Amino acid sequence: MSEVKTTISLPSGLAKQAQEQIQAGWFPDINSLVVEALRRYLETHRDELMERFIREDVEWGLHRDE
Amino acid sequence: MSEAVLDAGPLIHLAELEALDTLMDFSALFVPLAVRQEVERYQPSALTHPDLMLSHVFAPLPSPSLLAMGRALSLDKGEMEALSMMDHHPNAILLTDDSAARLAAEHRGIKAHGTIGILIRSVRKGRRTEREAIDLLRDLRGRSTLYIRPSLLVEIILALEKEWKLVPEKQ
Repeated sequence: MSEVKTTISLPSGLAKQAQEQIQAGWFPDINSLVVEALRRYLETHRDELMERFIREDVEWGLHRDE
Repeated sequence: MSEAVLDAGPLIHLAELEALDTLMDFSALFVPLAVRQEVERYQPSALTHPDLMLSHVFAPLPSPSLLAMGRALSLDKGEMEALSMMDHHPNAILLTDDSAARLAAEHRGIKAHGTIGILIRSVRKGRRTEREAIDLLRDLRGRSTLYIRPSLLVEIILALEKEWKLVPEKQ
């Protein structure tokens, strides 16, 4: 599997939480944690899914009484 | 009038747009503790709007099925508490901008909508004119941290201008 190297900056609170997870043994290192978090985020925030929800919002906002 | 359970996203985004008043016609606005804590961190002014009656509540413990779904979708604490509240207020509307939370809501038969829907709804509820709502949508990317694909936003604005029979403004 080819890889792309990138550099990110984390808010300190988030970095602290990540370190706690690593120290507790949930992840071997910060790289694995970020890859897993990103993979999961992208799975549940697919473009077509977000677009469908926004289109539903438009329909609700315009026409549907709750 | 409907009750609503709030996740952090709409509170933060509407505060950024100075449009929290668009929530005023819900009969109750429930804010679970974890959601309140998240909003306090990122946009505390959202919790102190003078005309907004937010009910700060302790969410019930999530059901086993919700726990399993939360793990599968990597839902955060606020989203879990909001969904757990919805289990006890099935006729309420969940207000969230997170698509994973919306996916979970869909699976559980819960009505869920987000900031864009609230802004458009504000016209129907008489809180914004059609032009004001369009202007807020145009400002979304510049004034809020809500992420939306620019081409989709343009498409929505054009569709709304057509629906509301407004003369399109030049960009």
